[in-house]
Amino acid sequence: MTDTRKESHMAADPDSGISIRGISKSFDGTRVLRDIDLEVGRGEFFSLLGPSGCGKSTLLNILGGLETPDSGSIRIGDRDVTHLPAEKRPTNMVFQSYAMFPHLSVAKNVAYGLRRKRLGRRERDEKVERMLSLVHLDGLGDRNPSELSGGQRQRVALARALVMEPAVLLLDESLAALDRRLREAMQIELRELQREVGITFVFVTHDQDEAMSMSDRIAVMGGGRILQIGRPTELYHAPASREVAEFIGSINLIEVTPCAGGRLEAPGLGAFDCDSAAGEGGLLALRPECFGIAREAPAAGNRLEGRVREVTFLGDRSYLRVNVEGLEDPLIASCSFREAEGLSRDDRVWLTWSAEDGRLIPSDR
Amino acid sequence: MTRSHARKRPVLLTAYAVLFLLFLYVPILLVPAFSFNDGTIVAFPLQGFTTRWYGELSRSPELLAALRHSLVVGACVSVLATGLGTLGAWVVTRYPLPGKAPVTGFIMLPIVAPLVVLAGALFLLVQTVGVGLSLYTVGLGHLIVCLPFAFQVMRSRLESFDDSVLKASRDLGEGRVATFLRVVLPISAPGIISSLLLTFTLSFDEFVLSFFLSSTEVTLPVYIWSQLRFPGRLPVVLALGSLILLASFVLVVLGEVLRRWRTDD
Ligand SMILES: Nc1ncnc2c1ncn2[C@@H]1O[C@H](COP(=O)(O)OP(=O)(O)O)[C@@H](O)[C@H]1O
Ligand SMILES: [Mg+2]
Repeated sequence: MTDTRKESHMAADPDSGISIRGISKSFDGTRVLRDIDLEVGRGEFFSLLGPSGCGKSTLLNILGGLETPDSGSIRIGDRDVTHLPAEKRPTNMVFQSYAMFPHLSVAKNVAYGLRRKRLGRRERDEKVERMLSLVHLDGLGDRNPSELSGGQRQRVALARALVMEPAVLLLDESLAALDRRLREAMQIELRELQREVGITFVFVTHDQDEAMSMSDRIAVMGGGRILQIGRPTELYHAPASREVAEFIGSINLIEVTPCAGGRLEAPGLGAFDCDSAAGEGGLLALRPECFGIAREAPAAGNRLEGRVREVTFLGDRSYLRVNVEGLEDPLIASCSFREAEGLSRDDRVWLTWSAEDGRLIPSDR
Repeated sequence: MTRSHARKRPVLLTAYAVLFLLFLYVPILLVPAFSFNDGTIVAFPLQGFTTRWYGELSRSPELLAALRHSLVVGACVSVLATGLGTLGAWVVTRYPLPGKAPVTGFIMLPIVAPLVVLAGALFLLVQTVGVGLSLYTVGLGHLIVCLPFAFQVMRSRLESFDDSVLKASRDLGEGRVATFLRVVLPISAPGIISSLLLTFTLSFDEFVLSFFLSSTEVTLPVYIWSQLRFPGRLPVVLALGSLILLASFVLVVLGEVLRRWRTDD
């Protein structure tokens, strides 16, 4: 196992991480991956996030050597592994379906890959024991995989891959088959495990909350391309495009054009200040929590007037949907229970936000 | 449905079940019964108990030779058919091939065709090529009949398992050959055993092909057929039949025990 763990979310180190250059892949004439470039740092928890069918698994399989790319190259550490078959790569995969060997016990599943390492029997058994205890499966080595729950099989799959001491662990929707409780518990556990072993994790998921809560960095994918790469907070607060903005969390988008004084104007709604504006138009993106709620017209600052359409109480937060004349969709604002107290349908409110909270992103139309 | 109706039915059903079982097993049970019968005429009433036919078995070299031929041909054919069938099923289930559907659709054709026709055709073929009749030609005939069965058994077994297991094996450092040996083979073991048993049985009691394709070295069914002309030899054949029955019974029980033991585990 690697001992040179570095702080996460640093820029990729070209000598020890993964470097993907210009990877493309087609199946039966359909382009599934288009010219993918990606750097993953050593010891990083890196997620590939995107809707189903966008090519995440294909990219992961290419990383693991289970698919061959049509073009492009892959380096892991200082080695070019582009033409290395799966069995020779320093990567191991945790499959979505777990891919347990049904004819082998849990311990033998975990020991499967060790045969090649020519260890003594004692050493091998010890390794397997240690790995099973790392994933909290002590004492279950003699069971058959069919006797385990989904969560336990998941851990066996993890142990089986980790025991190989890979430079990179690839996880394909590894938590998707678990129920919500277990999934949330496993998210935390997996993250802790990753810190403990210090291995680079490349984690595929279509669940944005999962990606946001676990990853050092995320590559958002769509239609076989990488749309944006960044830390979870960057993606959330500074989405580069409408697609990314809409995929991650909920967001309000208002079409704007540039106007005098570096401000932005929405036709019929007024002019707004926005720190990220640079003389271009586009979409003003506002997260629900950017808004303040005012019941009297504010004297200055960015504001929009509207009528409450719906108040949703969710315990820790309340959500307001506000109809604004001139906008197709209602704006969504989140606020504390106290801020929303007493508001009901058709009440007049002003939504306010500061110039630094709004974000200008290019309009894709 | 009335209550009395529902209560009556088990009586009828039980009677039916008893008749059904009698019909199935009585003819077979006649074989061991007469093999211990102290008399050369195979007819009721039984004439006392003897084991002499079993003793005479060991003094019937021709019969033992026929038995040996059948066992050897059966063993070779079942191993060959299962091996080839497994490889074929492997290719068909894992790789896209042009014309796969029609080819696999027609794979049962040799069996659907009347055996006599197939036997005649093979006889002609062997004559034309001029290799001469022998146990090899018998084995060839049996192989043709057994292959489709082996293929079908193995195909249903191989189709039922997940590709990701193969990927996992390669990901864990094993090449294609080792993956086949460590994953594919053990997972398909139950299929392989059924295929071996099925094709062995098919070959062991096959008559038509053996009759057409054998020369002086005959298999057991052909030998038995030739002995039916001599009533005095029949009890010895029955003794052999009983032993074969016993062996099959032991095999079936063993197979069942093995199967339960595997699924319990
Ligand atoms: N082996 C394959 N043969 C043909 N098409 C494939 C194959 N694998 C994936 N695809 C197609 O490629 C696209 C991307 O698949 P995938 O990488 O599995 O997406 P994701 O994991 O993001 O859901 C899908 O449209 C899928 O149908
Ligand atoms: Mg996928």
